[in-house]
Amino acid sequence: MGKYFCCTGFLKSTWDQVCIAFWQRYPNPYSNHVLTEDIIFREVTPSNCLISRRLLTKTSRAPRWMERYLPKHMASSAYIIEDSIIDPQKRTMTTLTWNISHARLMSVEERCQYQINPEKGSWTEIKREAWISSSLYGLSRAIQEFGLARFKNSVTKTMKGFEYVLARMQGQ
Amino acid sequence: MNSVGEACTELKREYDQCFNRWFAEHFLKGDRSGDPCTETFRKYQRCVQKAIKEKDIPIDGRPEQRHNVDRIFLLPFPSQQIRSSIDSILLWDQFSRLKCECKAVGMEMGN
Repeated sequence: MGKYFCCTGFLKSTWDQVCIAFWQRYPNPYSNHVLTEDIIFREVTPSNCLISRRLLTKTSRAPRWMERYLPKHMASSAYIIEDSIIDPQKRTMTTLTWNISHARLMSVEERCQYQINPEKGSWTEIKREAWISSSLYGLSRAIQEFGLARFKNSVTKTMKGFEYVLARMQGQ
Repeated sequence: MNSVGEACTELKREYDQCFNRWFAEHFLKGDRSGDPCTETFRKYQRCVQKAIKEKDIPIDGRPEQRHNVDRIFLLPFPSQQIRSSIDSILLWDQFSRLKCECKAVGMEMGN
């Protein structure tokens, strides 16, 4: 059950630049739906990897037909957690992102791997996967379709946001 | 960017500034010398963890395994397991060999 999505994209910047931009990606013109951003855990491991947990608040952009199924007391904002591991030796970054609110209504989990583009060392390849599921009886398929469509749209915004931040960094 | 705790935004900005400098100039270059941001991080965390508790945000969860793909998630923090051996958790190679039932494969991003 649920929808699976995967894609590979790239950014025309070095892996280092992308990692630096990763921590400076908010706010950007494509992230108006992101309200707050906080690092709530961070540590350098014995093998010199950086592990971090980031808490994000986003506006909950559910269509009106779905809002009917949201509990009245539930805030119009959604909480998302993003875990990341950055290995500066192997030059890889892995992230795992999932929503901790509205999860029974719809759950979106995304896993990304950022590494040096194998065909062009000055670019960064991003492998992205997502699992979208809903356990709401009778509506799960419609919710999953909506979730998948919204996810694809947000991937485009994410990449545009990255490109914006990278261009700004390189202009400095 | 604002913090989830309104009173913590300034502390967050101070920490972010310190971290971004350390990250680019030391961490990514393999420099293992000390982290200069411990104090600002501590102040910021004290504030934001309090705000999280007050708003009752369930931050200690982990994603459920919803499918029968054999892969390992990043474990919830803080955890002794994850501190001791991160590298074994990253099994992308194993995972990428699995058949990709993609709805949209090879979507090209960037121009």
